[in-house]
Amino acid sequence: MDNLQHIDDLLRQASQVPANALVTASDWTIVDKRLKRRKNRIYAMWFFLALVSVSSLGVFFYIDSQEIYNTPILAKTTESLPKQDTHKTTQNFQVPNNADLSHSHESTNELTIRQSDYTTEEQISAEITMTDTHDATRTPSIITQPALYIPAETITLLPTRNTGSYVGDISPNTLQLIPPTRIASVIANHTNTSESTPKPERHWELGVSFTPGLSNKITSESRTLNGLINRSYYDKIANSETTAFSNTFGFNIQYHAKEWFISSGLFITKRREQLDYKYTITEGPLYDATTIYSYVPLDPIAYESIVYSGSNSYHFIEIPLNIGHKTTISPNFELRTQLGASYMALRNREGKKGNFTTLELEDLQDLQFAQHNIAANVKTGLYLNKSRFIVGVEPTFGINLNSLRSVETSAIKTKPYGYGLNITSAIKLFKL
Amino acid sequence: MISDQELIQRCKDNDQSAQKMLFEKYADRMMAVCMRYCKNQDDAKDLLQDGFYKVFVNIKKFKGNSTISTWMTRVFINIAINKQRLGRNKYDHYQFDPAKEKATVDPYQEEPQAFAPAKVLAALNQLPDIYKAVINMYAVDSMSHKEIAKKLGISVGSSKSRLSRGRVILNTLLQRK
Repeated sequence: MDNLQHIDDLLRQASQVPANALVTASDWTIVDKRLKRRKNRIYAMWFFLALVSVSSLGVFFYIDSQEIYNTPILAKTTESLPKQDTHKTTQNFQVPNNADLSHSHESTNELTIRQSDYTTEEQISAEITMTDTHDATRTPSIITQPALYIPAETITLLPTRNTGSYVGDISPNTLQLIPPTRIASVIANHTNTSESTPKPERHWELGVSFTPGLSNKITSESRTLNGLINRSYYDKIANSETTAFSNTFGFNIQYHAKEWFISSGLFITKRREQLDYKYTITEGPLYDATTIYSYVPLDPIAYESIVYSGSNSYHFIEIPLNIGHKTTISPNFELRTQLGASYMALRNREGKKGNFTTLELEDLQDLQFAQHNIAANVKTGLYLNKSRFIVGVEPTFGINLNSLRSVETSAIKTKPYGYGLNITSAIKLFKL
Repeated sequence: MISDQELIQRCKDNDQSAQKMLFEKYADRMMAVCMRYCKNQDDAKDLLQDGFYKVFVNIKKFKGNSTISTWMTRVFINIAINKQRLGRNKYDHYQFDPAKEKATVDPYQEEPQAFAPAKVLAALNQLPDIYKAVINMYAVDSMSHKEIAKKLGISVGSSKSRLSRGRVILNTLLQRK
């Protein structure tokens, strides 16, 4: 069959003929759509993973903190108390007033401790109220005390008398059984000196944000390519580009330590510009790589009329890193201010734009843009701060620090900015 | 004029305008590859779209050890072969008749006949997929039998015999027209 090897040559020659007639614009459109769908899937996947990670982390720390508070007192006080059978579900103690807890087992009164019960501040307060009536007689009290749960690391036996503040009729023995971190709130509840809920100093907040707003851009000329700007550019194009509605939404996470906090998150930010082009190209520029050196008047039949009205959209994935400060202005309200930078990845752009040299309309997809951008942002606003959640409203402003248009190819440098009203709601995941 | 290297780099950065430029630059060449591996224009178009999608998704894996067109061609061939394996391109059973095929070969013909490229491609399209793939990979895409065997999941011997039979059938088809 060696005499058939010329078939290979025939095939090779035939395959050299390009099949360009068969390729149509719709082929690219289909490929492009599939690529966009894939990108969206990837964003959704990362978004979901980030959400799951943050949620898992939050739940983990929340459960962790709950476990610390749920540690039974008996298991943690064996060094202070005489050895007892901790397997019993109830035990009887005699607790004389002002007596050291270590001697309580020798007294005649009873203190019932149930390991299975759960302690809340309300329960503690209730028990304290019970002791009031007995304290009036200054006789040993009968205290039915639900199990108290104290962090293992923080348990201490308090001085029986010196609590450092007025405690009214609260039995010092009762105070001995209250976690030191809770004594202040118990006293506050008991004496009714304040109705506000104590705010944890350190905690995480996870929530959602939505910022409806307006966006526009700051433009300037490139030093190297400004010779390519058409003399009619500002009149016909730049002045026809105005502010448009935009928005940002996503998840935010904040870590609060005293009056300072760090804020980050994952956001989808859209910046837009409104175009209302209505002009006629009546001359053609003659130009080289850096300069327009002449304009040639066009024959009227070659005039090109540009009438285009619409908005250009630039879609970013935004990851901010802000540092903030909060000032308590009332028991429930805070003033929060934050300032920082954002990484903004340009994921898509839609629309058209007039060319700064020829004034012809170009699709944004055909233009070069910086994919990775840095932006600065500042916001300050009022937050409703409850024990478990916060809701805030704050004016915000953000601006790209680098030019969105590639400086190598564009004579016009563009820095989009946006301003709006950021609405945030978040839950406090756990307390430290 | 943007160089291939710059174009590839921009495609690696997911620059959509660069992707479009790369598509426009190589679409006709890749379409020719697709036509060789597919039965008809519709299948070829599907392969073209699948191929470019894969190219852009995997372009970060392109290390520059060969030209981009060579690498792209390999991507397209792999997809075509996988499609054949999955049975998307219908396998038509060609009745091979050695006596009939041999009769069409003229042993005294010293100079091979010249055929128009369109005619050759039309004849190639009539080949059963199993022969078409091997003859394409060997004759046009310069792959070795070992490589072909690996890609198609057949033995080297099968690859050689399919090439031989493919040539015979193709010659027959060309002579018939």
